[in-house]
Amino acid sequence: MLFEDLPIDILQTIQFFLNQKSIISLAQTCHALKDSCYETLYSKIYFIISIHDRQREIVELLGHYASGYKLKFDSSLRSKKSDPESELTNQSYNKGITVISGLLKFNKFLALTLDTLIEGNYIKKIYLDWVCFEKILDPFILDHFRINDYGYSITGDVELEKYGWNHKKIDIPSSDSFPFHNLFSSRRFIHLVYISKRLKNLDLMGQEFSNINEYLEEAATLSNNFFCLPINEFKDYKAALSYKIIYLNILELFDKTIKHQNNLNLLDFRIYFAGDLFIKSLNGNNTSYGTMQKLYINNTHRYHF
Amino acid sequence: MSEITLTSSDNESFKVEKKIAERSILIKNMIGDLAGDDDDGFEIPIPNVRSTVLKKVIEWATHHKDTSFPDDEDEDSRKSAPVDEWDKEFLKVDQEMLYEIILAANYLNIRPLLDAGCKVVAEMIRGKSPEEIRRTFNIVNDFSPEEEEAIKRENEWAEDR
Repeated sequence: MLFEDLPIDILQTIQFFLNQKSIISLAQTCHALKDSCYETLYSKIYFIISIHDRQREIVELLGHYASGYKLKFDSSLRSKKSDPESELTNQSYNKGITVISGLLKFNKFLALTLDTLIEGNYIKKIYLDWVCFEKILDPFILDHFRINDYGYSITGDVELEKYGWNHKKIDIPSSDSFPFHNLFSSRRFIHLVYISKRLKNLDLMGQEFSNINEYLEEAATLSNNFFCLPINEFKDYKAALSYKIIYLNILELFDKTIKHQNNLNLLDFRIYFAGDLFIKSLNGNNTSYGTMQKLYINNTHRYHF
Repeated sequence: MSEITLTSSDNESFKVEKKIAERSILIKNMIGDLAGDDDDGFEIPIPNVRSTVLKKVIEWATHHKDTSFPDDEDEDSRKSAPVDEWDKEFLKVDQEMLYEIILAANYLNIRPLLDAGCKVVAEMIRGKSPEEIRRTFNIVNDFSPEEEEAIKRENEWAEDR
């Protein structure tokens, strides 16, 4: 018997004892093993979408966020690695979940991997955590946009209502226990959504970009004009721009997986308590809106930590 | 002490102490289903396992008849437990035999032996490049150069940066 002819359950047991890197190497040997390894690697994916570049911090955060899904670090991987950064490259959870964290990895995954996975019907379950809000919702950043006491407007030239948005109708979940909750007023949340709506209307919206740095550089110039603020005053513009990128990428992920993959049995996501606002901020005619809203309703038990 | 007889696919019979045979969950369940007043004299056919492999499996089960293993459901312990030194020596066999032992352990539902065999195979893969893995297992590369390039790209997200 040839190795590649071993039954799928045996191959998967062998892969159970391998780290991500070795499974990827095995996938590159022949067609039969590629299929088996992709089943293992990509049937359950846990995205940690973050604008953090500091991987060490993400490693620390992973355990906390994953606990919401009752997942935990693979202790065998953890004990063997002393350097969290190298650990991250091999990260996985028990229950065979592959973790894709960080914006760069997420972008690469969307650009280079997702289509193949959809074509092969490999993805069965997606978990999504959006970890960047502590930076995005930094009151200091938002205060840069504050125009008056009534509402928040980026340059004062567009009313919220123009986008079909009425902040008075928005309820902030009162029962949410997310630690940042107390830091932000409802108006700040509305403003956050408003920013996203404005960003969505930029010309760059539909542009494909493969190089994140190049994109950020380009977007920085754009933001300088768009926000009518000198870059040195808008100290964390990259955070806001990353927000846009994440926003677009998540839509892309949802659209592609839902539209083309009928056997995706559960798309599970949490965007913390801002998720409700995020969903409401989307255009009602957008496919992602309906999908996300439906899934959101179906997954409200994931809402709290 | 009760004994049962296991018969391989090539019709060779092995008398085995019941406790040893019950290392196999499959056999244990069969004994449970068939048990009467007299447990002696059971003859259980093992049609998927040939005699040389069954002999090895019995050897393993005899050595481990009193060993405690991690719970099947305890993935962490299963994953982190090193392969027993005796098992390592026991599994120093040619690849064909190793696969047959793994398949037999799977069929007979002997999780610790299945894990040990799969761990040994995993060790043969760990840290190797795709080409090295092909050489180790005589795998024929059936990817075209374009497909090889594509699969590298697809997994680029996982590379160190």
